[in-house]
Amino acid sequence: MSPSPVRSPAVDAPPAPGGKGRAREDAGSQRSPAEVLGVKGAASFVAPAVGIVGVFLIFPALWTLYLGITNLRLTGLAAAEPQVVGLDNVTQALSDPSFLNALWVTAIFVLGSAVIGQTVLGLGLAWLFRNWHGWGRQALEVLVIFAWIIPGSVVAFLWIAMLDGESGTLNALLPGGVGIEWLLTYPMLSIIVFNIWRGTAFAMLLFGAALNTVPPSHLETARLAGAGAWRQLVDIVLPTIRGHILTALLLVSLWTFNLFTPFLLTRGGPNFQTEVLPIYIYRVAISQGELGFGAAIGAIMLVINLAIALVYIHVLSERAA
Amino acid sequence: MARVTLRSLTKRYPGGVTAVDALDLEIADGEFFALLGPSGCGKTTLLRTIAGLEAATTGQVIIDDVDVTRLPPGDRDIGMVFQDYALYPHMTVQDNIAYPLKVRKVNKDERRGMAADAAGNLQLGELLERRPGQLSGGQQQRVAVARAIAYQPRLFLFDEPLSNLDAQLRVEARTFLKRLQAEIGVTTVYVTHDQSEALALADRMAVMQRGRVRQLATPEEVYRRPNSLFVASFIGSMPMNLLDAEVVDGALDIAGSRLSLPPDSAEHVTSGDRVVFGSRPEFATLHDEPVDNALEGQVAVAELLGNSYLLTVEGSGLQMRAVAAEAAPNGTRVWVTFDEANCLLYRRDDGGLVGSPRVEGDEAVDADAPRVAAARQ
Amino acid sequence: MTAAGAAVAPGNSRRVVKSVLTRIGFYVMVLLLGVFFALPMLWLLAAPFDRTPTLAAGVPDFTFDNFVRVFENPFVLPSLRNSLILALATMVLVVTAAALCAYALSRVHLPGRDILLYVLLLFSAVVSGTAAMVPLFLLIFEIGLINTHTGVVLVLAGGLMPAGIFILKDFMDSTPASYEESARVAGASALQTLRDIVVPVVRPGLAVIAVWTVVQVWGDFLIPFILLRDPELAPAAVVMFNFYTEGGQANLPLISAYSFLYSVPVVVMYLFVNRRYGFRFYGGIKR
Repeated sequence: MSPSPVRSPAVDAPPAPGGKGRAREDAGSQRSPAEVLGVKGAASFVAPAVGIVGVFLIFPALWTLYLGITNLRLTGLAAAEPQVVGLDNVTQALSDPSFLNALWVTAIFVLGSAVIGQTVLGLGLAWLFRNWHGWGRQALEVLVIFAWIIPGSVVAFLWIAMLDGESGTLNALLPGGVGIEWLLTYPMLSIIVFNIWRGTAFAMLLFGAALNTVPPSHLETARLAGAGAWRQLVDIVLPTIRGHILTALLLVSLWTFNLFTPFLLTRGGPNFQTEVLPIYIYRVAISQGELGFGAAIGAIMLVINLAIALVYIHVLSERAA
Repeated sequence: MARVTLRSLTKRYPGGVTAVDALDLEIADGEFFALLGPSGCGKTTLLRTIAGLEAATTGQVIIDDVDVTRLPPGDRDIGMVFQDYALYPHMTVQDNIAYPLKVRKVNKDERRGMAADAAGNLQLGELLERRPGQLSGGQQQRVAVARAIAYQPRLFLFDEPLSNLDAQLRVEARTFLKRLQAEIGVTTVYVTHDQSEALALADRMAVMQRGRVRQLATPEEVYRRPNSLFVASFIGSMPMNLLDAEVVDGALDIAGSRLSLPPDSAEHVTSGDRVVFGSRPEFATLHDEPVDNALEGQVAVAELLGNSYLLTVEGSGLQMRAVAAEAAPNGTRVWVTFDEANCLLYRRDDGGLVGSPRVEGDEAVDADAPRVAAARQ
Repeated sequence: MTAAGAAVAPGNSRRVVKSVLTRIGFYVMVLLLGVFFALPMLWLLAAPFDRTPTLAAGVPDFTFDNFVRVFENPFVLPSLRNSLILALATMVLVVTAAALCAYALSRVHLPGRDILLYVLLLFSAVVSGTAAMVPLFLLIFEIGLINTHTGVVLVLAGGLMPAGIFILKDFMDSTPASYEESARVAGASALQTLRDIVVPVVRPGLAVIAVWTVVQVWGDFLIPFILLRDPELAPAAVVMFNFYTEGGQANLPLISAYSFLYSVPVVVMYLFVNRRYGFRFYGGIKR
């Protein structure tokens, strides 16, 4: 037999100390041969990511809670030596009409564009697409996805152009030369419709995946029993995908609640009619420099986010179980 | 080639589960050794501990007199075939087979040659440029074997390599593996949960349960004289007849019928012993009229096996199975006798073979320890 | 015609009418949806090539002049370059750190792993750039990274990292450990195993995270808007916004051609991912 080119290091390895037959207790100091990385190696792999997340995501969240109870300002005396003012910021906010206005505007925006608009339209599109594989479906699907991935400041201008009072495409298409300044006359409706257009792709994709989890045999059983498309949707599909519906509702609400994009269309105007909480924080904290007060509003947002997220994580773990 | 010795090898998982329990075993040079057992019995953990993919909690793995317990897997000179084959999806068949050689710094021309040789051995010559995703299950399995043999390791480890193949292909691959191992003569440890695979392939086999070896013997011995009720019920493609019996006046009382004691059990039992009588369906004979030493019943089911029938006979609260050349109509009265040389008696309390040393309670597995030690030569 | 036949016919025709109406309803709905989603985008396709673009979309009087003019603007090319720098730097950081982290979390049972994953999931859902606007601004200010690309990259990477970790961990978890085990039995070192086996096997996952990160950063407005003061450092998202909000008549030839240039990369990347890997859906990947 020709010499094997394969090295056999085991042959040269010294016999293990400790003697034959004596059971060796776990050599804890040695790295076990079974682990590629070992706990130390693994920790060093995890460290960079956890470090970045810890400093630039988790720490700011916790810091907001502290800053929220101070009177920190961007300039002036309170910038050098901020005082702890406790929950003053929160009580001040709750009695501040412009905060209450922002809260109300945000609620309408989230309800109209996320809870109703994106979820219903996304489910509708996914339902239309379920058995439709022609070019029309692909074209519509690509349009919806493009609306979602094109940069925000571009789509904002596309809508500004379309909704323009003098020469916008929408007024040009409407009969009778109405010339409505949509963003000034119907600002809330405008940003709601804009956000439905912008974000429906997510719900559509999620529901598209969800509809694939409905076993065809269930639908076939219903069809044999004489159920039409509507009955199938209500009796079979919706109960099967209700976990996905809840997921979509929660995620889309969470994101919409934190969305800064309306700023690109209206900058909160006219007359604060579209000033959602993110824009409000920007105006108060960055433009006017009231950092402590802005942080308190941010902390309130974090608490609302936390409530939605906890429900979401609960739903996820229910579904996994 | 290599000799493998395990000394009181134990693997305990952090959760407290003991997968391998103080196991002693010696595998001879060139032997085809099968580890057989139900899922969760520790056979795969044992194999992975030999490979070095799991660290032994205590005890030693010795290959050719060298303690490799603390060596990383790559330094043990082992070839391993995994249950899912673990073929790298991004490499061609050729690169898959040559990868271990590349790691071992064999130069490019040489490793191409060796990979081609191994592939040729396994009739994969045509497929060298394909990706694993383009191969059938049987071809993938052969590529995995080719990768393990190409670098000529001194020990092969197989982890249920045939379980992902369909039934017919499995028999073909089995024959192929046995011939290949005989040709190369490399010591092989083969894990399976399929008793027919172990019986067909192994020179020697260990039947495992709960981290311990319950029987260590040749396949013939395991098949003919399973040393415990566990092994008796695990081995054989048809379930063994296991009937509750009592020793009465030098004979067996089974549900009121009398059978004579199997000759080599007679000296180990006394009147009043409660035992389990065991005999395989292949060693049962049906008679259509009363005979001595028989259990009476009626044919309940007849199943065609191919060139014979498996008949299920029921009577006096007993159920027996027998292989017969011809079917009998349901309800036929028959008398079943058992070939005395192939009848076994087990103690009803600890499940051990009558005549073997007994142990108490749940530690019944210890009944095998002396046999394991004896078999270590 | 027999009485029985006549009795059947009305039922049949009713069904035919119903199915025709259903079809018509379907097409009307699809048409309306198509118009709704296409209408705002028409301008993006038409105006950049129009000799005299207006705010209304129309058939263009074809020209490439707008693109020539856009390159003459002193802010356009630097802003696209800034966007590219931010996107690539964040992508490298997120892909590398998230991949290492996901690999270790998937393969080694680290103490506290489940708590870590829970904290990551919770905070990635809860903390947004808007809610944490003040502390992010202050933090970057305090550590002296205000008005630098590094500050923007770190903040964006912190926000995108958890989702990257989750998706890559899913990828690693669904990759059998036997790939690595067989490499190790063959004698490969940890580094060789990573380079030769793990990275190629999870490459689709890495590519998805890379493209996703680039698309996210490319379009992000808020973080560079609050952390960068210097117009020379501003990415396209911010410069674009300034173009149409600064006083006076909007420069439509400039804005239209700039919008087009700025949008093309994400569209191309979408088409690439869709073609190469299929636009597979990962729960919650876009924020």
